[in-house]
Amino acid sequence: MPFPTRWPLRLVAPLLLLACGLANSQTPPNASATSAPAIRASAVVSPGGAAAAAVPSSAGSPQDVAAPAPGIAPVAPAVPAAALSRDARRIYELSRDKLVQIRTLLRNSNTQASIGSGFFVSADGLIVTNFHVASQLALEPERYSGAYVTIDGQEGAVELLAFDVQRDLAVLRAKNRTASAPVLEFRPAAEAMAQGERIYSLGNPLDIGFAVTEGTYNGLVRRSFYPRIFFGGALNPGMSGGPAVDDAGRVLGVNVAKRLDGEQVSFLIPAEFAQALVQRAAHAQAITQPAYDEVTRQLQVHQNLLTERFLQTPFQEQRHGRYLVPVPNDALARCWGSGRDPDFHALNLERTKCQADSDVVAGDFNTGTVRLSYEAYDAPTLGAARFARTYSQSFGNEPFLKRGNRRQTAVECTERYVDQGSLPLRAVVCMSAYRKLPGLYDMTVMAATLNQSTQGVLARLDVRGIAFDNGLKLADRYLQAFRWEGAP
Amino acid sequence: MMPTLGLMEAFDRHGALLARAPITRWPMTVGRGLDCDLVLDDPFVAPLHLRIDRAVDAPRTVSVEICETRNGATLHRKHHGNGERFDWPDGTPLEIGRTRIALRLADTAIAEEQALPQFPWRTLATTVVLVALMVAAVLGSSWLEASEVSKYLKSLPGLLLGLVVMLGAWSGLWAIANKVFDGRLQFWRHVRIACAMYLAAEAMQVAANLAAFAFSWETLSRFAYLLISLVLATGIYAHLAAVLPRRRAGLAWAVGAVVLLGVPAWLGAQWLDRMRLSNELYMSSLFPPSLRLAPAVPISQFLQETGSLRGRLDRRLRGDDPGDDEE
Repeated sequence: MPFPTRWPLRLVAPLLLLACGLANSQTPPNASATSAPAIRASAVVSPGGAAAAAVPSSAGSPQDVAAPAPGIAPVAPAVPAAALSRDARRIYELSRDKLVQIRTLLRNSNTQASIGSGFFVSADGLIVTNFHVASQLALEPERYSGAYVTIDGQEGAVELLAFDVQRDLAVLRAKNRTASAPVLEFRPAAEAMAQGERIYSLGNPLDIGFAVTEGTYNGLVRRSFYPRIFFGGALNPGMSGGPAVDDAGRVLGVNVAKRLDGEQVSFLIPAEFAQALVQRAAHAQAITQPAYDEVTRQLQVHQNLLTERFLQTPFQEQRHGRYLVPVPNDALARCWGSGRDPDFHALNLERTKCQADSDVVAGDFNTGTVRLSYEAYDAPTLGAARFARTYSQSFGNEPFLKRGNRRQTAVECTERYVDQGSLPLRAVVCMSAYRKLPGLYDMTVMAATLNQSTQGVLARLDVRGIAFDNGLKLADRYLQAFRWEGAP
Repeated sequence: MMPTLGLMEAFDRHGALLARAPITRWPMTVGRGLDCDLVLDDPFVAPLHLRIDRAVDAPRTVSVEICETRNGATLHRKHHGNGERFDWPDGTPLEIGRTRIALRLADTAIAEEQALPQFPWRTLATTVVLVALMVAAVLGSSWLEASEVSKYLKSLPGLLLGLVVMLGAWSGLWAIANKVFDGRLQFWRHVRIACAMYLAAEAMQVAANLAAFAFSWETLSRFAYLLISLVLATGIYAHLAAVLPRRRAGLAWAVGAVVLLGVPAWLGAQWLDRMRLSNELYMSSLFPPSLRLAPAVPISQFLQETGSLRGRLDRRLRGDDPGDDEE
């Protein structure tokens, strides 16, 4: 690529800014001081919507893509040929005819609603991509159709055969192909990759053109709920679903996401999951009806796994004075803490926020997330009345879905004073049901300790996309885990 | 010179004197005609509207005869039409057209001279106490929310100024209305009403939240806003009654009707909008733990109760409006 740096930068910078803004706005207001480095990104693009910006490695919206066109005038300085990696060029040449761009089109107007990348894995035209690239084909086939475009500009329709919501994979078939498709081979699972090994990611970033980016293999992501490869290279919107290949041009992973708060911190889905899905898809019928049942079934499997893992792994206890507050085990979630409010000396406040890396894309939204957060208050000099007021305000100032939307209902809550022996709590459980994913709920558990007049802990557990009974099990485990250590 | 047998006076609806005629002979006529003894300018009065007489054999009774008139006369809310005759007790106002006429007979005992009103120390003290309580309540409330003493002290002048401006503007607007409709300003009376209303609403809020916390009466906390709106309605009634003192009963009905219609309308709108009657999802006012009287239950029991959420969410799935708003 002769002008690789300028355009993506000009394009991506606002994307990133907007995306960060979105991510921050989603954090609860009373926890906004916590740094938010754990921005995950892997949703599908909606046309021109705000969600588009939050999606780093899927498509850019049509507006985003169109933006640079009038500004192409300042030509980027040509890169000397010698400076290009010979390996990248070789890989590109090796793979170019096996790559495709995947477009989701509005059936009525034939305009593209989202774009991503994919690659041929069988001579009869099976294409692997991300579920978040093809989710509209799965959930709204009456409104959207799919198309592929090869590097030579050859276009054709695609149909969706199978998808894996948990791993974010989908298999499509190119329709009406006469010639056999050139195929990318998978790297055998037995050949382990070495840390630091050079790998190459391919795709069509931002609908600009097919590109290859070099990077390094950095092993699997720690604490990821499903295995993900940590790719030390750049991924950009539109490259989602493209292949990442080794030095021999064999697929070792599928591009899926990147971190917005870092540089060249990207993620790939290990190829073995794509291989498994391809096998499942080989004899599958095309999906022509909204596949909410299948999405629900897979999300049920996901939430069962999630519940099982959380129930099997005991909470860790964090100590604040004599309070012992539950946080997830280090292996399950990442936690970030922050200190006191500099404008409020009398109140000693410590916040901790934890999040499990377990969210999955379920169409145009993410679910399957587990978040825990708490605030520990200690204000010996504040006085009981002032403490109670501050404590109440913080307890009341929690974001909830008070009004239903087309995806889910408004929340319903129950509340009680509960006591498991050592520590009375005000407990609140709120749930909201998904409209099109029957049996799945978002659950929030809140607990406010009520045993000291100038100390307390406000805690919150959020689980998205959980079955009702599993939600109650997690709530039980969570509430049981609060403790107060009596005088020695 | 003829002896004065009495005095007849005509007032407008606001009590201002329009005309006055000494009675020197019976009968006495009232109307728009210049030949009447009491001449009125009211267009709703006939040229000869009333003939008033005092029989010689019944000196304690004044009788009224309605002459040729379209509108008649009203005594004690009883309407009398053309040609009717009735007794007019001394001291009772009689309404004809838009005018109220009163009669004073010479042989009626004159009430004793009243002492000039003393300086209203008691009213002044009430005003001072109410204003002081309100200032204390506002300052106390902001003290509870203040994070730092120095910041609180710095915010005091602004807070006090804001309070004075708000209270002054509120009471001032009522006082203007009072002046327009009743002729008297009554500014300090409206200040007292405003202070009492604020204090009562605040007290109601604290009492409802405290009781809700102590006994785990979530419903009380959820619907405290209705109790507070009742307090505010009472306060508004007090303001209105000061402005239109003669229409207290009507105002009470009006305010009562607004509350009776407004509250169900509001609740209905809330229900239609989001299938709940209160915007409060859960009780969030927490007090010092020693004020809690309700027992704590085992977690398992609480979660068993939480099972009811499933049915409630099912109802929402069926009946909820899937709007596009998100919060």
